[in-house]
Amino acid sequence: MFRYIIKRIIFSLLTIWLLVTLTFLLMHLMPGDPFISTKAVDPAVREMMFKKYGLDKPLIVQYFIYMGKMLRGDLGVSLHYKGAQVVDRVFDAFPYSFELGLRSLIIGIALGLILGIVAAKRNGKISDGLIMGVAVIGISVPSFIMAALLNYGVGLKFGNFLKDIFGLSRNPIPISGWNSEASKWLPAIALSFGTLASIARLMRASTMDVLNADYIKTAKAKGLSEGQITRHHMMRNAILPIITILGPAAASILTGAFVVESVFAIAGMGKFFVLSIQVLDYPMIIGTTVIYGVLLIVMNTLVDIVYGIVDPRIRLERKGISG
Amino acid sequence: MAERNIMTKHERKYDLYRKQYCSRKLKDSENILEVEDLRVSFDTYAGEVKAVRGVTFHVKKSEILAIVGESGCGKTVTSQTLMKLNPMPPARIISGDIIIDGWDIVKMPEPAMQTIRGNLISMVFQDPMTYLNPTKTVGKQIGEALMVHGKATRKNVYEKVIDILNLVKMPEPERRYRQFPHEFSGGMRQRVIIAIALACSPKILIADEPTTALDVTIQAQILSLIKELREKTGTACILITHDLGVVANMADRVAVMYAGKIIETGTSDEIFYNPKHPYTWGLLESRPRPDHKKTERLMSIEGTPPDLFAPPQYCAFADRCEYAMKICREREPVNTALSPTHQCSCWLLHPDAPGVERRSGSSFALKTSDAGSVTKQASKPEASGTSQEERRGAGGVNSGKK
Repeated sequence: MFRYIIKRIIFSLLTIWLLVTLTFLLMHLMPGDPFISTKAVDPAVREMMFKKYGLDKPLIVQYFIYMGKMLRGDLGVSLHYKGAQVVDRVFDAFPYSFELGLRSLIIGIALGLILGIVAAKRNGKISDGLIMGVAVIGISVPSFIMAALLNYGVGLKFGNFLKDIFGLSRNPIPISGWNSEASKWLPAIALSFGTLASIARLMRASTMDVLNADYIKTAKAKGLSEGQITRHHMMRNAILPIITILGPAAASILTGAFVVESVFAIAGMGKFFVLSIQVLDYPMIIGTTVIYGVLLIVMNTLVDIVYGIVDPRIRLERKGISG
Repeated sequence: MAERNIMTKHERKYDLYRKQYCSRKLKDSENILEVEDLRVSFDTYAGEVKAVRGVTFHVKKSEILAIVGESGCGKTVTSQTLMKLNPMPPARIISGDIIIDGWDIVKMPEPAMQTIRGNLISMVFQDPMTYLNPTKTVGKQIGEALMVHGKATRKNVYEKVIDILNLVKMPEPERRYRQFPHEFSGGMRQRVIIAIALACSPKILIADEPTTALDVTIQAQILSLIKELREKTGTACILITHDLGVVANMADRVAVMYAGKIIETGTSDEIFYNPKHPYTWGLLESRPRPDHKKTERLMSIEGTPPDLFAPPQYCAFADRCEYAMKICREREPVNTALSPTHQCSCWLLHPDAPGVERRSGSSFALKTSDAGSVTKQASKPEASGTSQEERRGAGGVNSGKK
């Protein structure tokens, strides 16, 4: 087990190094430079700027300088937000994105699993069709439309409707911001739809597989009720295939969603992903990429560990690798 | 538990259902199970599949009844219906009676069935590889069978499971308790499945091809275990198999099924030494024999069983039967009692039927060419021209098969 973890860490570091190098090369391959948008800049000033940020040196030198800094935990200074440390910027925004992501993950996983099981058990009935219909919509409607719909439809219209009916002084459903408990649910729901839908579909498929499994018959022959069979024999086995997709899903959701965050005016880190590329804010691009990469690796490792806990057969194989 | 008022939740439930559904008298007090004219169908998109078409049999206390027959003849459906294990729908009990120790199974709703499944009647399944939950320890899976019927509590479940593991001769039960199914060999898994089935000491154990998935040496171990447990616990056993070697070794009585019906039933001796139905003859002929030459083909019964979507209104075996007479294609045969234990449904046993000799031995196929003439001669009074033609055709296939 110990050797397995060491191996895992080494591979993770290698992955991150590869990720950083590739990102570094790719972003420098992009045409333009960070100061190109600034209007009518004196060439002398431009040169000074380049010198200040070390962009005048050959690329290979820049690469080693950057890598050296990174090893010391310094992701550099943002070129766009003047003078701001990338690390500070990202970590200021990360908690918002993280909380939003966590909430939507919980909603997505919990509802997705429940809906998937219900759909599988009602296979072929109306409720199954309804759930799968919603799931298809959830998968095919992008989150920005979902966010706009929820923001306008539920937040504004329904909120105002509630206000009129109950004679409140203001709309009870906040449509933006991230300060009250109430304001946190709409964006979380908007962000959760995709995960919810894909988990529901997967869970339905794997539940149907498990329901036809022979050991369910054994359980029935023991005299267990349907509820007991679902809880003690079906769930754990049906969840196995879902766990594999949870890692990447969690990483992408936790790092924030640019559109949902901008629709609901949340100061998350989603915007850095998009804006930093638009303005060629080199240190910021690498910074956000590294954060995303690390999160993805951590999540996948976590998933592997959880998988081992849920499925004893995998636990044994791992022992085989390390021993 | 000593006082009448202090009953556990499980006992109360069991008692309630017992009052409601356990009032039928068995015809014979020796019996533990009686099945009367049971008909089971499956509703499919293509139509109704009549899988079991009027089956009557009984099982005596602590005896082993073997049900034999080829694949798809309704053995498994019959046995699963005894526990109502086949999903309903699509399965449906059309008519008939199942009485187990006074319980009226056909009338019982699902919650009542849950109190007797694994408790009064339980099942050993065919494939030990897939019939155990891969994510639960073996100890838990056995313990669950005890706890669901209130036969153990959280506190004493460990000791009881160890006892049962010892009963099925599991080596190192304490270590095995904590292991998962994938850490067991096939034979050991089958012992676990038997342990689960026997956990609540049921009155009837259904073993549905318990050794089909195991290799021969393990097969012998498992069979002797089942036999031994029968002696120890007095559990009656319904053994479903298509392996006649297993039947000869294990069964007290045998029921031969064909196309959803029991066509012949009798004690093992009667079925093996004095079979009366041509299908039983065919089954017995198709066993491999030690004196079989390598170059010789194994015997088989020509043709296929009838389509159970539209089973024939006459004898279902008639179309494959070398001895078929005119009446065989017109009416269902009646059940003839040959002894108090031996019964057979075949027109050949009718007083008006010509006496037919069973052709036997490994020379069966070789003799079919002249067998045709035997049949021709034998069935003279009733056999029609068309059936003779068909028979000759079948004989030709047979003789070409040597």
